[in-house]
Amino acid sequence: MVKFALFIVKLFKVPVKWLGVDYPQFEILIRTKLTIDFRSTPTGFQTSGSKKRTLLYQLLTYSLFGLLFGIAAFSVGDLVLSLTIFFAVIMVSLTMTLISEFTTVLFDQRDNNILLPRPISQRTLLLLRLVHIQFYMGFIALALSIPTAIILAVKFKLITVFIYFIAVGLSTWMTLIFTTFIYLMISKIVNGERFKDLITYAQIVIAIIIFGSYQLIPRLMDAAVLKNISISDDWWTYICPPVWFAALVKLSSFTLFTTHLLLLSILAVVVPVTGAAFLIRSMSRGFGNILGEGSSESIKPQGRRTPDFKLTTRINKFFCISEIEKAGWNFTMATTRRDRKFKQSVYPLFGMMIVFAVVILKPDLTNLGASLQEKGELSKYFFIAICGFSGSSAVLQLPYTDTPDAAWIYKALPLKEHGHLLTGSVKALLFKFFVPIYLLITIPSILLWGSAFLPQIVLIGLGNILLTLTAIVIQKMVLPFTRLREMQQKGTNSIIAILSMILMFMVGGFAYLTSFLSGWITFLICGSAAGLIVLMFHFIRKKTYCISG
Amino acid sequence: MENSQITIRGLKKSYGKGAGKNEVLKGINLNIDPGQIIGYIGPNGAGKSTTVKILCGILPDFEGEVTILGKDLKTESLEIKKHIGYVPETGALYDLLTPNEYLSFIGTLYGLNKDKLESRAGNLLSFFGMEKHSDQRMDTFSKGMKQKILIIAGIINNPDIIFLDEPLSGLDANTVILVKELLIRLAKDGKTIFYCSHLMDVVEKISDRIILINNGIVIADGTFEELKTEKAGTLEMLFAQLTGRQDNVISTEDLFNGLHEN
Repeated sequence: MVKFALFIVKLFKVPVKWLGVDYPQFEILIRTKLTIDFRSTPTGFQTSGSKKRTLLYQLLTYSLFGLLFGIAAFSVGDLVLSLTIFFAVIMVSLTMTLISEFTTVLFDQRDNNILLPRPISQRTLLLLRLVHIQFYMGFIALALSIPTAIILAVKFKLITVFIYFIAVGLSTWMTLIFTTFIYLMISKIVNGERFKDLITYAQIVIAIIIFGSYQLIPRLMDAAVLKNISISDDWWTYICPPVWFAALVKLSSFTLFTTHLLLLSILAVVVPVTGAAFLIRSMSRGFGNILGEGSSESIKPQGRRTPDFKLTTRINKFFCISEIEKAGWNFTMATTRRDRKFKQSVYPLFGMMIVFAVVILKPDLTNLGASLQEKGELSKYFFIAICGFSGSSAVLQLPYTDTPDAAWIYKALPLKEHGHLLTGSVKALLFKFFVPIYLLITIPSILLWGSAFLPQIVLIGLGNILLTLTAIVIQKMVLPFTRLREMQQKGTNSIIAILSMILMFMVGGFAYLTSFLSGWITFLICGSAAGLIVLMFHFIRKKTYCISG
Repeated sequence: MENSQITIRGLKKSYGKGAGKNEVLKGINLNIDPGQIIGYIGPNGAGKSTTVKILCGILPDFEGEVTILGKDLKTESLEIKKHIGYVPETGALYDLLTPNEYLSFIGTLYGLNKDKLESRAGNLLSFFGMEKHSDQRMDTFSKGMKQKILIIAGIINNPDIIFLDEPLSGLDANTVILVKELLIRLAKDGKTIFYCSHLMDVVEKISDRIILINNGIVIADGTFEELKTEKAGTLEMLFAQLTGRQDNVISTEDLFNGLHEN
């Protein structure tokens, strides 16, 4: 696969040079990066399985998603409309993965000491990072698009399928450079160090823009499209990238030729290419400054402990049953407050959740209170469940760190109860992210929708915690901060997030069903859920960890 | 000082902002001539590594003027980087690669052709006795073995100026001798060696010039002969005298009493 990627890179030798990039340097950089990604890391603590297997597993899962999207999209008759929906779904999924998983790769400073002293231009470095990410994003996009390719292959000529794959590649690239463009625009306004503090907010903003516009498009379409079930020559098609890629594929099927289609197809090719040229040629300086601002984050004067630290330390005795659990709590509180990469992986989800919440509730802004009042019961439960999930999903990032070697401490300590450390950490994260968000959402909900709602809210909250604990068991109960953030792992994290989200919808639906039962029965279910949570904590605590490697 | 290889004027660097601002370098001025071995010393946290990182372009954001090989570091850093070598402090290398792969990677970045690269890498590897390990992955290497590879990677482009940050850390006594000889030989060749170290006896013996910094400013600068005084006959004593332990609140005695308490 690496060889195939390098073959593709070689095809672009001439355009890469046009960008002002040193091609021999670029080629050895990307070759080395990919080689390293695919070598196994035996020194890791609790190593994961083969990296190629991880990718294969992702390929299958994403193809399954792709099949669902494909079936949904092609239930509409018109090819352009089907493909527009399909590309929109792909681009939004990719943006989600990009901002929550690959932002840390884009601004990675771990190899600063290796690369920055060498005569590598900022353009070359920026292109390296973009292409490196494109490799993994392209893989996900490919997996998502295979089922649709099969449909196309049956219906149309081979050339259509070929152009379709090119369109998938272009749409991935477009997503990547658009997101990078927004990051670099922000970095132009603020300096490098400040940018790092702002980056999590930028991620949230991008999440809102992308998800928001994704919600807007169907509304634009509504009026025009539903009349004749096809996309006509409307102005908005020129600012809506998914339509461009759909038009490109349609054009290559040789079934229809209009100037409208031609113009859209030209946009599909020209915008990603010129966008890349603009990004690399004129914005790479900002990128270099962000990288160079260096590993300075650790050098902060001490003695400025925030009151938060003392508060969370004092409070842990109410939640933790042992001294080791308290240690895990304190350790996690301190680490998550400072680790920027942790924040960069967790915070974008909040942005997506805000949009999801709006989508589910579809509030009427002219009459907010009344419109919320009237919402159907089911959507209220979904809303609560999904908002709660945005808080508990932080726990999924617990195993990852840049310095897995530091896990030697777990081996060196005269300690048997490693499980206590893990449960302490999980409790800390739930307390830090899940509890505040859940209260923030449920208190207004109760005020608005009445206290009859309370048993279901408790039930959804417990269900949320239960799911989080299940996810930890599925993740093989990795001790906190012991795994390297590996490139291949990133796609898997997104899958876990999506699956958990689907499960959360089921929890919401279950809570809805219980609302038809008497309150006592609901409380009984809550009681057993709480009991189950206690049991699972007990199970995780009791697990003996094989400390090897 | 027209023929200086490195000119530093009013170099300042701070991290953080507002109340949390931490000024690491508070105005460094230096002229460094070609062919010299410069020992750059100072207590932990004095700003040694920060200076070196600025000089080799890892930290592009600094105040003041730095000229290297007649070129401005702020505007022509790419050109400068072609002629310098850097040996980082911590084992910053891709340790999933083998030495051969890593050196060929670094060499290609400098635009060396394949033949030249292979012969240089081969020579350097055998100089350090590493040729039998040249196709083994470096994640199994000891700290000293990695350090040897870092030194090789730092000089493989035949640089005019070599910056070394703790080059001797983790090396055994025999290798320390090898590196010392190598540095002296490189300086004789007209190359400028700028290195940070805590091994005072080594610095004392091989440096043409010793620069001592503390709290972000230069507090002593000259040859060892110039710097030593009657009270401080070795560099170690001089170092202790100038950077002193006067700010230590707790004595070793108190510390031990504390450790024994239960």
